[in-house]
Amino acid sequence: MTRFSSALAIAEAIRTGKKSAVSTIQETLNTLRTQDNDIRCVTHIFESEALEQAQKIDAMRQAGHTLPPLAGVPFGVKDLFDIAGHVTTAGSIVLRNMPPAQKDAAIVQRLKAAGAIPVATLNMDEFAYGFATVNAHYGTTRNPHDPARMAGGSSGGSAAAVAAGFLPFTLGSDTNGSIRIPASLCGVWGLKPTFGRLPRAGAYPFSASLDVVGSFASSLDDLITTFYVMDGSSPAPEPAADTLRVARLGGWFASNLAPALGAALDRVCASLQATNTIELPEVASARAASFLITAAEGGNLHLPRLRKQAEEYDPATRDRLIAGALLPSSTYLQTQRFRNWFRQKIHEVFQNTDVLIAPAVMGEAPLLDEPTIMVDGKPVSARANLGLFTQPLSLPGLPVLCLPLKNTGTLPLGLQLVAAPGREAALFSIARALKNSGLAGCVPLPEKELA
Amino acid sequence: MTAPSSDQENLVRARATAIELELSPTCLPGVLRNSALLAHYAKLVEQHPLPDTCEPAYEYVP
Repeated sequence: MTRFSSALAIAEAIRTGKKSAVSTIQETLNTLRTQDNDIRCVTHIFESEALEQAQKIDAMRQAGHTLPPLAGVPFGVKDLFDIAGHVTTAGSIVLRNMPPAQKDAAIVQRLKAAGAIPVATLNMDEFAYGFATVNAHYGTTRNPHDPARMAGGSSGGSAAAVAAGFLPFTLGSDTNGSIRIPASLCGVWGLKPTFGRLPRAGAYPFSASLDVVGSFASSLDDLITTFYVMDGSSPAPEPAADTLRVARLGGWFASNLAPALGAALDRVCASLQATNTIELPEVASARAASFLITAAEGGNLHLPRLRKQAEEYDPATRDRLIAGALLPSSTYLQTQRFRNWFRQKIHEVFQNTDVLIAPAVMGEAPLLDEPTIMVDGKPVSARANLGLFTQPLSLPGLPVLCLPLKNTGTLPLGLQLVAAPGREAALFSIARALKNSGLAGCVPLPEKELA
Repeated sequence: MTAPSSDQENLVRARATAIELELSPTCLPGVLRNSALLAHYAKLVEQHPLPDTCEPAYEYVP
């Protein structure tokens, strides 16, 4: 069975001949076809292309060639990554008549060069504008831990496919939290690398100032291995965890936490001997700036189509994009000036700290039929507020690893580990220490969801 | 968020006209709601004083 296998275990089985790439891909395709009815994370399956690539890998092995590191490993992509020969729809019907992509997205090319095989596109909020993966065109992706609850978004299909054990790793994108929120709600590892580090070529844009491509994985080693493949670099040495200066983010990031999340955060900080608490300045404005930049850039991007075919958009997406397109230029420019101010403050923080710890989402996944969360004692829209802790950290473009907490006695909860730009290796070191201490790891599905 | 006033509706309509965007009756309530939310966020950013030397982050490097 390939279900719930890690990418590295699958690659090892194929490399040593315990399993063929073709049988691995056949099993994966069968899982996607038969097990996704309750989750609905898959939007398209690349059956013939995937099997063709698998046959080439088996032929390479039979010919005695050395296989690349991810040979035969299946993966899925958020429905905004170009796959050659396929129309990239970005979770919408608006682009359905566009020509097929001429080539694969840049990070897909790098993964394929390492032997990995894209097998499916995965559901998302239309044009990545949302935190729920409730899609008027392609349906709602449900949380594998409890199908009555949100998977989170906008990369919800990618997180759910890993949580359900369908795929060992998947690709997503994060503008305001679209990797970190579904990773947290689905209990899997997620990585939003430093802004600008991974190439975005072939990923359908949303907000050029904030968009980052990244990944989800069921194991930390898979997350790290696939990151360096996508980065086109050799793995950097991880600094020893006990040499890193770790602090907890307070103030904005210490309010509105579910009790189990607060307790887990305390355990994590105790394990790392992180006694310092740091408050970032003007967090509410940083979140607002992120929100406004996204709205203005998304609205501008879609304005030509909104003039002609607004009725084809999901009404909720359409109204958000139009409101963004109507923002005055002075407001947009002020947010971009604020961004530079905030960047300077963030760099000051990292002069004395290596890794910051913050909650990813305030609690468990909201119910789909009651999509509210509590903020400052009041029920508010989950779709608008799940990014409370992720949006302020989007603005400075920092690398953030979303870490699934273990043994919380609840549905999945996640933390954000945040480092200075380009210091992903520090995140990997702290994440590894927490995994080794039993505090972090992909959250297994309850028995009833596996039946 | 309070209900949008007719002034807000007029402002949104004028801005839409300025960018040659027709607002259909079905989208108007949602656009007004979202515009009010963005105006709230704009106040949060605009209340923060910035020196004249603070430039927009056009070529942003984290």
